[in-house]
Amino acid sequence: MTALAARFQTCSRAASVLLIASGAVCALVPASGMAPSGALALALAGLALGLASRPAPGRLGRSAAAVCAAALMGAGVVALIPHRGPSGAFFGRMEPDIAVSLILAGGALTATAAGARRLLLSAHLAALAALLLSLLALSGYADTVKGFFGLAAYRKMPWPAVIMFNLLCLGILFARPNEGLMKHVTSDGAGGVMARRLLPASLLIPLLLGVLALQGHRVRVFNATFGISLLVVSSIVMFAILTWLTYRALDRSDRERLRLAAILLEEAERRHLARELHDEIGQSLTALKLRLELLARASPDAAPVAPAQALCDDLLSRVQSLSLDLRPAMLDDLGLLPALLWLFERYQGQTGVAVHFEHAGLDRRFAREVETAAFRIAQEALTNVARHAGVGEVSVRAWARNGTLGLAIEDRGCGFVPAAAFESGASSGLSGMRERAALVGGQLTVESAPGAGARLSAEMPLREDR
Amino acid sequence: MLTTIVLADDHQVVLEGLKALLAAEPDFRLVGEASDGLRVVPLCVELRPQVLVLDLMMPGLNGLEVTRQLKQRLPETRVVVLSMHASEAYVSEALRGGAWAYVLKKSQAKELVTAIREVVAGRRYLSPPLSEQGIESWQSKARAAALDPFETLTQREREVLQLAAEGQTNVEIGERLRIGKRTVETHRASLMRKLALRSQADLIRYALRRGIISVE
Repeated sequence: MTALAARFQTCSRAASVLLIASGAVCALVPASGMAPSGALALALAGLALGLASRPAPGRLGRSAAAVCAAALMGAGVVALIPHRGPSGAFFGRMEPDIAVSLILAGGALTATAAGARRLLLSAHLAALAALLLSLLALSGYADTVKGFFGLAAYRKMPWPAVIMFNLLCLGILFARPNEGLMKHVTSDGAGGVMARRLLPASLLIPLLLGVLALQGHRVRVFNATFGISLLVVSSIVMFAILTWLTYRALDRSDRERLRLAAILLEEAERRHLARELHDEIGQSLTALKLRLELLARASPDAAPVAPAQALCDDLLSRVQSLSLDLRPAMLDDLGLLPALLWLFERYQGQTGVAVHFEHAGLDRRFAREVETAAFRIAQEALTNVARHAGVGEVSVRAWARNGTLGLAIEDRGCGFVPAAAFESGASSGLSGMRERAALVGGQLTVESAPGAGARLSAEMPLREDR
Repeated sequence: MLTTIVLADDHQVVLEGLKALLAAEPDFRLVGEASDGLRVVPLCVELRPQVLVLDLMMPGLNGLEVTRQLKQRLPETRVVVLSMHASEAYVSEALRGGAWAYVLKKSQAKELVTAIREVVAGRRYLSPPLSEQGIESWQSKARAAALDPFETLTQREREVLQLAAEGQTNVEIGERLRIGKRTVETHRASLMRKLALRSQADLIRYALRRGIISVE
């Protein structure tokens, strides 16, 4: 489960605790305006919610929750039967809309508690409907509104009940955040981001504005017509602002996604080209070389063949070095450690900067994306050291421990201001390295100051191993 | 005495070239050929050649794996690896898998002939510039060092470690380093995880042992 989903579930559990506590209080305090039966029913619902929203509910807890929730639903059904429901001070009288909400919420809670995956979509829809009904009560709380069904004269639902009901419906929605309707809200994609931004606002803003408009009308600050136009105009403004903010967030994440996709695409291209050069062209040149050698051996005068042989050798080493530049085959064939050792040797030869390498736990394979990210980060960091640090040695440490692959590149060179280097864009390659790390869910830390050397480290989570 | 040889290379052109090369040696007899990695082991088990000349990277089953399997199932067949890769990493891997010789494809063709004769005589062979010392030095580099967990800490984590060991609270550390309390908590959790410390007492003990703080 993602951190986000876990947070949703925590909210759900918090709602259950609140429900149990406030239900118990309201049942005891007559000033709450709630019939003790109703308050206890909501406390019971809280209990069921608490049982249902645990990360791994046991079978006993699940059935207990389902029974509580079903009882809640039953109470709603009984209340709908005219003049058949129990009455008296303890039971009070339940309005039809409350009864309907109770049935909806109870049903949703039963399905959630029972862990019926296929029913969760309907459960979430039912909880949503119940939420809307209780929102209606909440917005209507500011003024007397005619009974929703017209079945009975509307009696104001006591405000603690309204709040508790809202809490219950939200709790039901949050209890199983990875399934049903809610999986769209908690998804990692741009859609999820949008849902999480827009939904709370689109619920709360109209509610708030509506209450304000009703109140304004009631205390006669303005008349009904003005109230409605005020409501319309402020809704328009609020939603325009919200749309603009959402646009910006989506646009940013979209660009980020494109950049990451470009990195992946480039890496795939490089792998393909490197393979093609190495395997196809390299092998053909090898065959050509063999043929030339046989030809030289068979002919009485080998001298005319010699230039062709030299040319062939030259081509072969060029193709190989090009292939290695694109993407060293050992990264795919043998893994990270051999590729790093190869890289350091070549780097030392090309730049004269000595690499001190220490490693632990690297004698194994990691997921290809992680190996690629670590290799490219090391490569880029070393290039930076050779280009900017002005030192003759650099130390590299790599470790795989506690489910993390770590990499640290440290030099005692001239150092730099990290923020400025990130902003300079492509020249330092720091943002590229950060994106590489981000691609595998890791992060890059750059620590440096002018004159104080630099330490660049990347830590990447190891999920599934190869 | 005739030396029986099986050739395995997935590139037809290379295979043809190699056949022509080996055919020129009167004491070599080519008994079989394969261009698919998966075919190589069954073929060798059937033909029991003295020498297998094997391309390191083949589709199906790569040469490294073929070498490993053959070492188990047919130890008397000596494997001469033929490879485009000049890196010690591949050589070391091939030798560890049980290869007797490692010949670079870019070296002179007659080296392959030399390599075959050497392994039949019971000696290892490596194409120059590869050498046993080179392989050994590579292998020693590839061996894991005892990496000090302290070295895996970022500078920030080291600062937090010291201040925490001095008994400062997260809020105080945050003020000193001009970062948020939550950030301090993250750094603290991360450094505890890296150093495998469980409590504040562990942290202080560690800091004392390392000389990060001292008893006054």
